Amino acid sequence: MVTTESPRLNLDSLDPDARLMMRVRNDDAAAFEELVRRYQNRLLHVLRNLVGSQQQAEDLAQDVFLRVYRARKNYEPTAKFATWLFTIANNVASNARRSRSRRKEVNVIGDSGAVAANPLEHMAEAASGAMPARQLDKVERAEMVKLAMESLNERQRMAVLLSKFEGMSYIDIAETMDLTVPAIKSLLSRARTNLRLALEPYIQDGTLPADSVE
Amino acid sequence: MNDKIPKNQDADLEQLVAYLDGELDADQVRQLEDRLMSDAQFQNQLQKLQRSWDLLDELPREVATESFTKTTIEMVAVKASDDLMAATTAFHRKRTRLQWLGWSVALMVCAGSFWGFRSWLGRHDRQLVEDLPVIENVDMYRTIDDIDFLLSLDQEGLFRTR
Repeated sequence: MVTTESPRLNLDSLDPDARLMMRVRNDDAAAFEELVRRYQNRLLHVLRNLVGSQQQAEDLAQDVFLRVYRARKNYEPTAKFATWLFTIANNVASNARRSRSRRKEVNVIGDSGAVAANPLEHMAEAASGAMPARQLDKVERAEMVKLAMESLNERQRMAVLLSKFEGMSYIDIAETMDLTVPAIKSLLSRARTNLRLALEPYIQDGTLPADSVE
Repeated sequence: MNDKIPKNQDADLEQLVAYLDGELDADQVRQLEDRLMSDAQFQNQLQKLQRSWDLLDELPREVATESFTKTTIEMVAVKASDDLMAATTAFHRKRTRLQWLGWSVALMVCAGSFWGFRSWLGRHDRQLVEDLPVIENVDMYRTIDDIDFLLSLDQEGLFRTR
């Protein structure tokens, strides 16, 4: 005779963030604050590099946390919490991009101040000796990498951010971006190739110091 | 940005990237490493991919301010409070609607019962009115022993209300 039991959720088997989220589901405000503190920097980093603007990244991050809170009663820990969170972030960023497109805003990416506004001018200023060398190296490298990231399309950028900074596997990235694993494999391959092509001149011709790439 | 790598190299690049990402199984890793040992160009490609990937560490890391954290939590608390208020209002509205519905049904039941009772009472009265010609003279009719005579009176309409 086969007996069936209703499946019981084993909280100990969940990742710690999913356990926190289960507490949020039970209206534990402290658990929600803890989740915000754990994820805010990671979320801001991804969103900032997706949308370019610091202010918009913060607005979107708050929107993501609000959606997490509102969806708490329906939360089921079937996947890693981070995958769920970044799925929401991906949707929020996509919606924001569509809204921007509808408004036909021109300045889609970049508000990183004078450096982003004219990186070549900044580099010329630096080369003239007006800036300390170490500071130049760091600013220049960051700027070149930022420009290289901006040369990727939004999907490639998202996949790169999740892979590089969230350390997600292809399976998790596929789930987050609602794509297949082969699609992610191809997407990341093209993204990395594009990054290499964009950064290669700076690595090869000495624009960047050799120790930065060792 | 368009991929400038020829199509026939796509598969190789995918394998290289998957290798760097730790997404290959043991057999694939062994095959790829064998090739890396013998193919300098392939190895060079791998190094370039890895170097550009490592450069991503140069992107400034975002650090949320305490103000951001506070604002986020307060915003969510306010929204949660709004949601709760909206849910409470909706609940009260629904309860009021249900109460009105209940009262309406009760009123209709009362009205129906009253009408039914009144109708039932009326039917009894109508019967009495119909039988009034007989009731008025029932003592006299009792003295008549001939049923055929009484039936003939009924046929002539003597017992019916005018």
